[in-house]
Amino acid sequence: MKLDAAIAEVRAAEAAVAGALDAVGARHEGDHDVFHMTRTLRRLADANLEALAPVAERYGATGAPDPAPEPHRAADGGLALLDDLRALHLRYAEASIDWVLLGQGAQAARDAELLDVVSRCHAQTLRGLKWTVTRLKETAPQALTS
Amino acid sequence: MSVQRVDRIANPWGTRTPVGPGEPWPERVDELLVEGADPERWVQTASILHSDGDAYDVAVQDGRIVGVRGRGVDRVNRGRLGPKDVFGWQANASPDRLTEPLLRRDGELRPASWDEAMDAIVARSRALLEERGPGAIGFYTSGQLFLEDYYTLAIIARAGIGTNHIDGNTRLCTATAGEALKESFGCDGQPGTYEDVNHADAIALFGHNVAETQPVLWARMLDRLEGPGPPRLLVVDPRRTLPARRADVHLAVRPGTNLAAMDALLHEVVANGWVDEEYVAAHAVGFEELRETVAPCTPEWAAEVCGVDAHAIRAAARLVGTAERLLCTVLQGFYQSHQATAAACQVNNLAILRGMLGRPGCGVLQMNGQPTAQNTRETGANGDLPGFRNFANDEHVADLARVWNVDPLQIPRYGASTHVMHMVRHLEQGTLPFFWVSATNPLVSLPEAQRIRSVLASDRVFLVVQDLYLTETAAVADVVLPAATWMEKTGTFTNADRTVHLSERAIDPPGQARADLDIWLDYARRMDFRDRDGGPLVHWHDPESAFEAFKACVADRPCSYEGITYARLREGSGLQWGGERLYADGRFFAAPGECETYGRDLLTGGLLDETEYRALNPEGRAILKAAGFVPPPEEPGDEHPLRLNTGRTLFHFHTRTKTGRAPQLQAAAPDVWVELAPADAQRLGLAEGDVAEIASARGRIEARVRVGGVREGVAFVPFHYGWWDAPDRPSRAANELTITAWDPVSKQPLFKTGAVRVTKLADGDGRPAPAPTNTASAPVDGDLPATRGGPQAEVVERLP
Repeated sequence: MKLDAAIAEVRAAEAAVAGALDAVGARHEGDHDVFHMTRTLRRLADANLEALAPVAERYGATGAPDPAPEPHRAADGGLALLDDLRALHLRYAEASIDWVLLGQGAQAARDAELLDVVSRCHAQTLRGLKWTVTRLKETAPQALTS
Repeated sequence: MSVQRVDRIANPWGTRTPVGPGEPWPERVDELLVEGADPERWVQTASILHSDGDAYDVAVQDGRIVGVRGRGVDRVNRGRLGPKDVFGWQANASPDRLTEPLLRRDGELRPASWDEAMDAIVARSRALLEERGPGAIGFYTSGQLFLEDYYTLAIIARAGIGTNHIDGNTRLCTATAGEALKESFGCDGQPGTYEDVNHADAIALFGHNVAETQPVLWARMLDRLEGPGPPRLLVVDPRRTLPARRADVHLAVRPGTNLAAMDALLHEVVANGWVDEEYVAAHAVGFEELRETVAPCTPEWAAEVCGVDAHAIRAAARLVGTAERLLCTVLQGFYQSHQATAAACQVNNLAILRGMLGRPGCGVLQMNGQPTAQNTRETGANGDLPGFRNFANDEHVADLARVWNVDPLQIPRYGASTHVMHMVRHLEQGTLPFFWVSATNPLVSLPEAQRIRSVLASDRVFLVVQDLYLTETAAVADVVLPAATWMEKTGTFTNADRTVHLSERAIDPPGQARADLDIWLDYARRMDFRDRDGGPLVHWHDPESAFEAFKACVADRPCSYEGITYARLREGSGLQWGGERLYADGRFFAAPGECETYGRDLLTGGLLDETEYRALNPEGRAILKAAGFVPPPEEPGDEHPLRLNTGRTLFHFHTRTKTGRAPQLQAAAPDVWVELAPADAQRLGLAEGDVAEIASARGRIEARVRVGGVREGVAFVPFHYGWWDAPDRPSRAANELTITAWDPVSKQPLFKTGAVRVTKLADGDGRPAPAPTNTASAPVDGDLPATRGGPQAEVVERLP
């Protein structure tokens, strides 16, 4: 059984999402919707980590998740937002695929409780992923042509 | 018939004409003529100071308006007029109307010719298009112009310039109505009709202070409430509004918690088996997901979040859950608050779950704030594509390009349009150097006023303002264009229940002022916008040809105006597009090829794509969408312990540009005030009429205190008061206090969510707060002098 490793990957990925959300929010207070939405999404990331806690304990994957490295910082204005949202998007993508892998493992192990956690939590991660795509698409035209 | 004179400031809703269920609403023709008037003719029009669409005729004598009279034949008002209808027209003749263009030279606005003003605008437009492309140009329009104006602006912005930056101030009033309808029914379009008031056995007003926002609609409801077999009434509102006083159940929820209350109502409807399962199975998708979302939302949970009694939530759920003919209406209490679209969608969900759509008395009215807001949505002046087309649908965009005879690539469709708060950000960051504002006053009406001032007054922005007066915004413009207004120009507009009215030119505009349509036609001509065959892009030349061009553009869309012509509107009165009720057959405009949007996640606003939408399998079915409650972006704390709620009063509209120039309306509510609950006032050592400071993390204002019926823990401030008529005072705009935040789906700013501190500055001098006593701002002290208008406010009412 390597499910403990898969759980640790998901926890680290969700922790990285949470860290990136904090960083993006702090850096883009002037983009008010980004600032507020990163705080809402941070709640979802925290809830995911909380939902994982009981299964993580069961599989002995309880070590502290790796601290998230800061996303890359680019120039000012729209390009900086584009850059940071892109980095956040990649964090979400990583977390999302880690949930997929854990879900496959949970199915193979016939662990219904874990499967339930995965399906509920992955939906929240996808929500963040989708928001980053939407917000990036809004930002890109002006940032890239002005 | 009886004839009587009524002080319509003291009694804004006029005399009752009670009706029973299913009975037609009797006529009551209201009329006001200035003393000694002898009208030469009466000219047809409708309300432009709210969204009800009251139809009336204007009396003309010697080239001036001398009075008004309701149209008894009209389906909307049956002759009745609200106070803004009856008194508001006087602002047309205000001596401070703009009569010539102004151009900023050496830092000052100076008179200029139309050629000079338009040349300046055209030169800047051309230079920016050349140097920086269409993204350098943005348009911000109104909810008070006409359909013909909006459609012309939309084609200029979209196909002429090719910019994605176009929005209306309808973003502040009606954006959530449109988005909620799109999310639930696949497409914009008001399901219900005002006639539903006459048939309903239960009416639920969600954040809708109808007595003040649409007084004639409230008169219709009052006539039901005072007739035989009255409907039951539910009101969700943090203030003790007049409807709340008449309600069977009043939920005075904490500002910012509407969604929690709605989730609990839906929870109860599901838990008690009040769902019309047959209707839902046949006509909706998404029930399982909705059920899961509301499952944990018990009345006890919501009671805690919303600060109301769990029993009251149960009673409210029973009222809507057991009604046989349920009419639900929604307005700013939901639209301008936290999680606006999700909360408004829950109202749609309630109607869908109960099968309360498309039958007499069974309707949803997602109300509009402004008189012509509906037309910004239909024409695309609010940033949607014209005719409820879906920007993410290639065929819709190709079809629009065919109608406009342009290359599809010319029409920006890489995302939803840039809403006004994002335009402000682009202005702030210097990537949007050209901003053309028409018929609205963002310096007073947008949140965080001090930020908006600094952005719009900046030298980096070339600001064009087209208006009737030198508004706060016009005063900082680079070019000011004097516009003709209602009664000085011809056009159509559509109210909140899809009723189209014609408003005819009756008098000349003052000085050199021009109709908005003529200004934009002139701009299009000077810019030489061409279609792909080299013909003029804007090929119409007057209001009626613009109307017909719009009709051709929407002919195959849900909002088709087929059969509505100037001639028919002239012969009769208001006509509804789409028939009396949409969706009588339970078929919605939701098929993937037809819908206006593939939808958004209600929590984040994340866009769904076509594949995801198809996977929902909506075809012609409604979509039950829901979201869980999350706390608002700003909650009260030690520094700012009260919740801020900004809003309107019956006697004013927006930033008072018109109503502040109508003597009876101005006298009824002459200055800003702050409303506090008795317990809060006592704790703060404040009494009626005392002067207080209201401060948030953004700014501060001063206002006299009205001790009134607002919920404890909430400070209410009306948002109408800017500084054009109080230049020597510090700003009294409610938006000095508001937070910059908006709903993730509709992008409507949160004017009703935020935190403030109220402190006493001075004792009152015995004068009460300058707030009306006969509205939601009624004082708890019943001995204060009552609001009245006196002889100047007497209106003739002809009753059956």
